[in-house]
Amino acid sequence: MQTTGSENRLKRQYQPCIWMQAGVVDHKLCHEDYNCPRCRYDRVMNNLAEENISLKRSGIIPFGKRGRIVSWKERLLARPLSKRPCIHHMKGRIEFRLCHMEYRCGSCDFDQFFDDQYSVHAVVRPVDVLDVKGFKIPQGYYFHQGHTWMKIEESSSVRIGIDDFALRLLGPLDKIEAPLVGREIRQGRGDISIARGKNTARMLSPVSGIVTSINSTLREDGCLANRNPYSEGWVMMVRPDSLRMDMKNLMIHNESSAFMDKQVDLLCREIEEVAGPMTTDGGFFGDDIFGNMPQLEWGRLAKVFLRT
Amino acid sequence: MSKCVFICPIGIIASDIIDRLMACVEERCGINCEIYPPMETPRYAYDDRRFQYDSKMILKQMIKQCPPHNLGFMGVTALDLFVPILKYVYGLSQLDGRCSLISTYRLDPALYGEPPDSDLLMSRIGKTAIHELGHSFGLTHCRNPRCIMFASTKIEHTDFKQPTLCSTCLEVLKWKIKMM
Repeated sequence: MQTTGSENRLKRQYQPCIWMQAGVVDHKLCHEDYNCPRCRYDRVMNNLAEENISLKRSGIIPFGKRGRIVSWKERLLARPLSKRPCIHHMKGRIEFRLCHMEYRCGSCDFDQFFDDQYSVHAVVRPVDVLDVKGFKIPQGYYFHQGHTWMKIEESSSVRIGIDDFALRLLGPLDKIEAPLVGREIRQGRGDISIARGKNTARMLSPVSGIVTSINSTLREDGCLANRNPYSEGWVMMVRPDSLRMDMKNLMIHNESSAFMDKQVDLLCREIEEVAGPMTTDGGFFGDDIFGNMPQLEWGRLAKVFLRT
Repeated sequence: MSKCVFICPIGIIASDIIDRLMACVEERCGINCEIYPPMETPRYAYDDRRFQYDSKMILKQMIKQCPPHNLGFMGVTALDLFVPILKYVYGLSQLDGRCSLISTYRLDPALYGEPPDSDLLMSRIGKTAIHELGHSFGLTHCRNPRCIMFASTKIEHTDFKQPTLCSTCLEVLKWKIKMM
């Protein structure tokens, strides 16, 4: 497994899959530029490995070629410590380096350093944005039912933010606070806090993982998120620890559009409950629904829409 | 009570629009319409942050000036209207009241970069007027996107609506009129 500089250059050209390098499969080349979270093959292999673990736990010995599939981490951990290459070396990005962390990259200082040095931190504005009853839904973003979003970024990290609906519902925020870098967040836990005047609320994290970066501007100017919810208004970057499991609880494309459509209907019902039937024709919701209709009550909006 | 709806021009608005609107309401609802003396441009309702006019403030003023003994008092304006929680409105009315207000500003095809089309404009104005009159008679929004009482959020919704009530809303309206 230990390779020289020229071999590394060769690796970059041919890109052997991580599963091949670990010895789980005989031959498989990578066509995703080592972006494993987006790779279908990686997803299928991980599922097979998990199935085999479940079978073994229930006393059944899996057989055949499929039965021999174990996760690439498990296969590498079976090697002596001196023969466990760092994942970044396996991806052809660095010279040989040993992994001392049993492939728990989320807790690895070098991995954090590597990401900080080489990752693209530029915030890309979404270009393909759907309009659902006046609320923006960018394509490629995953949405949580608590109105937070997650976008898969470079090097297996994800960017997290608050969606257009929540920000326009609650209006201009004074501050948005994410947990400190290095802290652990959990999917569905109120890890993000928001404040507008005396009103505060917590928002649910869309994924679980370790916070690797936060948008500190939001501590002073929460309105930045109101202005650009899906780009400059991002809240934090996270190294997820169970992204695939977490993604099962998130919505994308048609699912997120249908969800947003229902949320707008729910908002109309909430408004009609406090202000009587709407007798207007035309018009999307504005940018500060709570501010223009405080009788909707902050706490109630947080409970109904943010689910906290 | 006189079975008449007063149409009140607010600010500057073409007289042929008022004439065609009256003809439309008379034809579709079977209700007589009369022109009410015009109101001046409601500067008190202008919001200089939004560059729009607050339709609720105008409606409140209309309620104060509403003539007695009529079926409805409808303001028609070419100004861009809003309510605080919405970006704009085509119309607004009192539920089970007599006053309503419609704006032609966002019904004009020219606003969407389309060629002038007075028939399309009048079709939209007619639908919006009957929608708001429906509210005045106590009808609420309908879930049927083809019914005139469907709440449009954009102009395509208004164009998709038929110029009539769905069977359910029609029955409710008949019952409401009977109760008046």
